Amino acid sequence: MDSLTPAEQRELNSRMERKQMKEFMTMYSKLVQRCFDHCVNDFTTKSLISREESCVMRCVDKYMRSNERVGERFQEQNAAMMQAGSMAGR
Amino acid sequence: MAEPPKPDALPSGGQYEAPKPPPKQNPVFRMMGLPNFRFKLPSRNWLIFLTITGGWTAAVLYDKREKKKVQKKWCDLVAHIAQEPLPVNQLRRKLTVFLSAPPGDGISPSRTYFKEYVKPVLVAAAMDYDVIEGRKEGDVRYGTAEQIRRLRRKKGEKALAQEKKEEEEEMDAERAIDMIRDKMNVGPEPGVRGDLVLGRHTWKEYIRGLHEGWLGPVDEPEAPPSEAEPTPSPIHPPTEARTDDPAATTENPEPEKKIEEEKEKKKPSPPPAYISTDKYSSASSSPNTPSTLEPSQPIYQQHLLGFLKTPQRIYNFLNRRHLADQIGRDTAAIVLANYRPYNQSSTFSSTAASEDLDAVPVATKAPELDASASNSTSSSQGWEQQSVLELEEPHWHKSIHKPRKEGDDSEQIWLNDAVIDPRIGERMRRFELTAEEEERARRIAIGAEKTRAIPVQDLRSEKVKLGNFDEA
Repeated sequence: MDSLTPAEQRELNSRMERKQMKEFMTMYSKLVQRCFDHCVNDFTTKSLISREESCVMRCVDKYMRSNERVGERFQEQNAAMMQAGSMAGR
Repeated sequence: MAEPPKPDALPSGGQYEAPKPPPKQNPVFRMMGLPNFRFKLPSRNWLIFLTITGGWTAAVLYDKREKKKVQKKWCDLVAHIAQEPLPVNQLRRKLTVFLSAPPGDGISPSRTYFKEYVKPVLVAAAMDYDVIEGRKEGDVRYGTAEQIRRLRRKKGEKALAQEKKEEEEEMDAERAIDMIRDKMNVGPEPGVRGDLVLGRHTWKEYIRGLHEGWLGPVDEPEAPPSEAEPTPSPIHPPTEARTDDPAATTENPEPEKKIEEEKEKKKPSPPPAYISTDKYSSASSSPNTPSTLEPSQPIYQQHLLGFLKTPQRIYNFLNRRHLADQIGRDTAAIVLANYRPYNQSSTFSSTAASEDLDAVPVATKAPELDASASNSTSSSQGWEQQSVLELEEPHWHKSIHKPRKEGDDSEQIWLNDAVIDPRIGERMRRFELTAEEEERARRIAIGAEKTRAIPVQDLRSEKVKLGNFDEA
């Protein structure tokens, strides 16, 4: 990171931001898709019935939490892989 | 020969004189339009064949069905635990499972045994587990002791003669994971973990490993086994670990030296114990020894070998439901974390049960000393841990009783009695199901009570409701 010129640094930063934004929006749309598919099946009325309401709340909760958990495990495995990689390279 | 017409509608097969002329057709059959067939028993040979195959099939199927029912009962008892919410930064409770190859066999029987009887209950309760496997006699002992020593090293007990530099460089994947977990504040969920030991052979090795880990030194003893004279080190060289066995000491030291030199090339695997059993009382236990060790559960492993034992094995095969029941009960006790101290024949033990346990939140505590005091009629050895699973020993394969090869001086753990040091023995706890949970399991079996788990509903499987009732 230190070997880049300031202009390249800025370019890199803006790209990272765009990428993160995109990931975030993807996650959001996946979340909506999933919760809608799993929770809503009563189309006799426009608004969400109470069962669907509570289901959606729980769905979002679970999705975010499972994301977090998987992220943690991923980080751990990443570190382990890097460790194993660095040791193998020795 | 004309027969008088029969007034009632008995099937004509019941008549004794019937065979010659075509018998009177059962009026019911005639009314239904069915042809006139009679019910006959098959021939004697067929009958024999069908009885044997039918009987065998019925026995097998009945046993299978009952076994499934029994396993389902224990799974239902613990299923509610799988649905308890777990915060994101906590890891699920992790058991340690000790598997070892039974004497005279490989490790696959143990693995399939575990998978068939123990694992369903663990899976139903969403318990995580870690397996320590052993193929040869000392593997589990070494694995256990090494784990304990690693824990001790982590807690800061530095090895005596090692340089610090070596330790810091030793950074393997596990350490990396532990570091990340520390940074993210991810830790195991509060509560006792547990040890599950399959089989008496594994149990003996486990006990030996426990003692070796907590009472022995953290690093390898300095006297290498290849030296002919025992070096004056505080810890006896491993070749003298067999002082338990009086026959060994009468060996000529001369051939022993040569054999030791030969063996210098290949390291004995598993590595010999860091402390021998006769050194227990003089050793100082680690300062990191917890006040109660993780509770353990020895589980009966049924393993019979031998051609002449085939009838016994057939009987066992047709009665696997009882085994499943017993093992299910033991595993459910682990999962529900009901534990109690081990009993001793001397009475000073176990009143300290409640004080030790208050640091650890458990579902229920079971200091049922009165109930279990009656079954602690242990043998001449005063500890319950020594007599647990004793019934398995006569079933071990005869090959382990053969005289050992010359030069094979690894420690004989299976054949020797387990030696328990009081400091470790009184810290051990045992899982046992409380009477209340047993009662509940019995009620689940007969259907009087449902499992405490909430049945999971999947809205995707329900039909989509379309309609026109729009209110706004």
